[in-house]
Amino acid sequence: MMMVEFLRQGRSIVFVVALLAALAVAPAVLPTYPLSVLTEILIFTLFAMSLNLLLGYAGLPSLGHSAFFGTGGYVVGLLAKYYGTPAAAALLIAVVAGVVLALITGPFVLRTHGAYFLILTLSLTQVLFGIVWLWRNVTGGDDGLPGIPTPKLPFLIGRVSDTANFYYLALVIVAVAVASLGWIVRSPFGLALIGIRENERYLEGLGYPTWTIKYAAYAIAGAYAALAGGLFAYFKGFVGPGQISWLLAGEAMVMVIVGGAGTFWGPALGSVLVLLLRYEVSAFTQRWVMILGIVFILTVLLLPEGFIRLPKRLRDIRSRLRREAPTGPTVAPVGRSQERAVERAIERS
Amino acid sequence: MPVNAASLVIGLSYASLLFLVAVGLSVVFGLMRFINLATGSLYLIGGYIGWSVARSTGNFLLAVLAGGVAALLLGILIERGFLARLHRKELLQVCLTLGVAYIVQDVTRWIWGGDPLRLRPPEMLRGSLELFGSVVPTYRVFLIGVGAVLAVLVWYVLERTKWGAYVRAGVDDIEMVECLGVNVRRVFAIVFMLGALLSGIGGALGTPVTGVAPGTDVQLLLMALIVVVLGGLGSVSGAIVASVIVAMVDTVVRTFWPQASFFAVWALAALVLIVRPQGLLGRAS
Amino acid sequence: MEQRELRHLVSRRLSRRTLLAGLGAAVVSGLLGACGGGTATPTPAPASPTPVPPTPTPVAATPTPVAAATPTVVVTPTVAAEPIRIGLIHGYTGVFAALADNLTRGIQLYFDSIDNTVAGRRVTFVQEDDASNPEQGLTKTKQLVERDRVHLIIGYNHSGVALACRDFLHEAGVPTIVDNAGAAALTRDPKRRSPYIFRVSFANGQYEWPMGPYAVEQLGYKRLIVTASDFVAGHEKAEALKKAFQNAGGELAGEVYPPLDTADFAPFLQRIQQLQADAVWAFFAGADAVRFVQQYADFGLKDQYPLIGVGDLVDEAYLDQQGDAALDVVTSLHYSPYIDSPENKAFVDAFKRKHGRVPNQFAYQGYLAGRVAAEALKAVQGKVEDKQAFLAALKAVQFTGPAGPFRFHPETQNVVLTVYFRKVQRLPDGSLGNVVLGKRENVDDLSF
Repeated sequence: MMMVEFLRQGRSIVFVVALLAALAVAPAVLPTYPLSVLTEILIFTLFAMSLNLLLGYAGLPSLGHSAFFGTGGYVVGLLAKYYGTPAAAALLIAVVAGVVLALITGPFVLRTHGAYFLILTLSLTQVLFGIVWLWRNVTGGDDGLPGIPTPKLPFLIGRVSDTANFYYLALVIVAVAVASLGWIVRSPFGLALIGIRENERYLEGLGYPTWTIKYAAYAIAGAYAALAGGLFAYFKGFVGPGQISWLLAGEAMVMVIVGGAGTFWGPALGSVLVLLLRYEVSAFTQRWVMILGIVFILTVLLLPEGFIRLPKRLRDIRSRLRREAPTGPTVAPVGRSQERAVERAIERS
Repeated sequence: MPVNAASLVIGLSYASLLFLVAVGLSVVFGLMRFINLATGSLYLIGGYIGWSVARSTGNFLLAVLAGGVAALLLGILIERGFLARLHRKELLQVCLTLGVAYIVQDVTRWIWGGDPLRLRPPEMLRGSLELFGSVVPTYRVFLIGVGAVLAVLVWYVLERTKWGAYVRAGVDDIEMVECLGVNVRRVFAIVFMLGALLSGIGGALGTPVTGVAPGTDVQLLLMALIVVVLGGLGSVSGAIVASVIVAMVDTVVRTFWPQASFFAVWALAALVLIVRPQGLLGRAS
Repeated sequence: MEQRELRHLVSRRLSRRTLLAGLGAAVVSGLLGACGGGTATPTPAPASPTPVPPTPTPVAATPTPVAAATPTVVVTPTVAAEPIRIGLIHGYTGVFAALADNLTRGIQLYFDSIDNTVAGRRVTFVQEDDASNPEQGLTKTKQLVERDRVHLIIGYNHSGVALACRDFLHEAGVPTIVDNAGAAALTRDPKRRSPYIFRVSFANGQYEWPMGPYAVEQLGYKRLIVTASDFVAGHEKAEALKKAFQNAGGELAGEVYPPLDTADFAPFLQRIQQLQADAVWAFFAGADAVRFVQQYADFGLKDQYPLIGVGDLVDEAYLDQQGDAALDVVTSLHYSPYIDSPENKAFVDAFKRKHGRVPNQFAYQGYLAGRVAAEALKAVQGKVEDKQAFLAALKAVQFTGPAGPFRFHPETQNVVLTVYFRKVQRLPDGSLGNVVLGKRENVDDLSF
């Protein structure tokens, strides 16, 4: 068993190191425009991953996650505009604001589940959207707050372009955040979350404080989303009601699903796919909205577990073609291994 | 400023519109737990097709029917093509129906352009009536009538017939109904199509008031979601009651405190769900 | 057990690697391909999706821009054979799609009339969709500047997008002609205006305020109800009008601000009905305008208070839908297709020939933007690479356009307008049109 664990970990380490190395050298090979798209992908990866904690791990379908993203953005925007707060402090306050918002709304939204949870999170986000839209003196209304100064890493100033400078800043923050998220989902807490998704009553019966676990997950997801939102506001130098709109929450939801809900790297893949589609396809045809819609539908039909399962799916098809027979029940391997992990965690406790 | 007869007529006419869009969503939502974010698109299709038919034939009734049928066809496509595979998979439903909504948005913009269009009511329904001392457009009164008739019809079918009993039983316990030898899948399909038909008719009937333009779909979808959740999933009476409440609250807030109307209904929805997570007339699951 | 699991794991390792490689390759190669390193030549997208015009739209006909060398190399101004690249950025999808299409039609109409050639140099277009969404708009603007390396940007129908892109445009030093976004700060605020940004359309309030004195002096309205969509532009326009109206001796009877995208105006109309006034001034645009004008008539308010307001309310594109409800509405705007001048007649005829309909204010603004760009390019003999000379030429552009003399205000770089007062009337051919009643000349954006 130890050998297996070791190999499994070694494999992910190789993956992560390779990915980090590729991302670290990206500014050397990429011109500024693709680099800024890559920065956006990084930020949305963090946002989608934070949503995945609710959607994929805890099984809470939130359609209002943009509330936290937007809160982070507006906190950063207001602090930068009215108080000239340094970026590190502003981002920290943004995270705190996200947590506070989650702690306040959590007890209400967590009374519901399923579709009701979806609509309640949507409603609260719309209320927040309305406040931002109407509070023109402070938030700038629908024009938003432009002119947020972009922070720079001081030791890189003059050595790389401003775009690359912010890219590295975002990369460091996102990498650290993703690493900590990875630690959270692999901890007993993360496994308990999966357990709640699979069978909340069973876990409750085992003596788990399931409500508290969900509450904590909601607050954690809010914190990461606010961080992503704060970064996004710095990146764009602008914050507006679009960053709080439920449409953005919907798009993040789609990123998670298209990439693969409940898998760790799925949301990252999803944000790559959706953003590249949005920016690249729209450069060639005005029909990009339709193409995006078609991709959503095809994903649901052909890759219901998300693009992260594409290699497995292709292998399945290949083996089916070879043998003309299905290879047993097609249960998601991760689903199964996760279940095992949950059982292990439960045994351990 | 008293709430007078005109406010009542305005509120009720808006309520009947909301009911037409929401009832299909509500029953589908409650029965199959199918989250249909393409509901607004059905309204949009109904409105656009209705507009085109009215423009070429000049017949309002035909336009309304054509709008309903167009939405019905789209509903059948969604139901036959995708619905069966996605039972109880909420996330995939959201993704799928959002995809459908995107496509409908783009196709309608392609065909009808981005300018707002407005269907004109038939000759006899234009103009205004004097009602208890207030001027009220005739068409609004007509809308209330149609809405009330359809509400009673849907209520009767779902609450008072044997077929409706299967549907309601399905809301509570699908396996049980299947054990009784009822083809639940067919019941689901019929309900879904009925819902689509009603949304389409709502679109065609609503265009004289709301017009159709890019964005109308999102607007109506959000209102329908509120109505459905407020009323409680799968409850026809809930949808009726919630339509009236939402429309009335909206109307009163708009009259007395216009600025707040932006989020008044959302605050209402949030409040109701916080106090009563299963909606007004929904049963706790 | 352990062995089997091990083997299983090793075999799956391969797939993970494949995935990793695939992911990495997808990101890097996708982006690299996207950077325009010779392969990804920006193709002008086919323009308007509306089926109304029978002829194919002109953008598709223009040749693709020649892919330039590597992105890092600075373009040398001596390459005379290289076409002038103009970036067009509007919200072609979303709520403002129709508006964006009309702007683009206007731009194209002018460039077609000069055969897409200025001083012997060809002009090509790269069309991008900002979806009227500030975040997407900024990314798309970066793409136009950094990847497609356009010499000039014409666009921005949405104020939020224009404001969000302002800093980038200013810092990157991109000559920009704003053809619709009305955010007043963009030219009026000395801290936010930029030597690179010009506006041919209007600042919010610029063509609204003259209605104030006109209503008092010519129409004889002393008490006014003001109603506008509840968003920044709505408030900016209403503020300018209110101030001018009160300065002219008028009195406000009340204000009502319905939210954007109001499906049902009835409750607001109820409120208006209960106020005492001589007239109602309104600003609504798009679907809201169609609904408001129609419902205003439905509820019998037309007999109670005359409706005046902003030209957007009775745009040429909506009159057909509004029908008789729009009759007799008096509005102020910087354009009407029924301005009686040879320049306007030529413009309207050309537009009608091409698109089968009367041009509205947005088509006119697009036409202005195209013409201003072309005039400035002509003045520098097509040497757009000499940025300072080109900016100076832009600033100095003057001509007599469809709506009268055109020039920029030297300080704000915003257009100086002739504002027209128009009334919706039935024309001899049975259709409705905004007939000109009077005008006010030389209205700049610092005048309110």
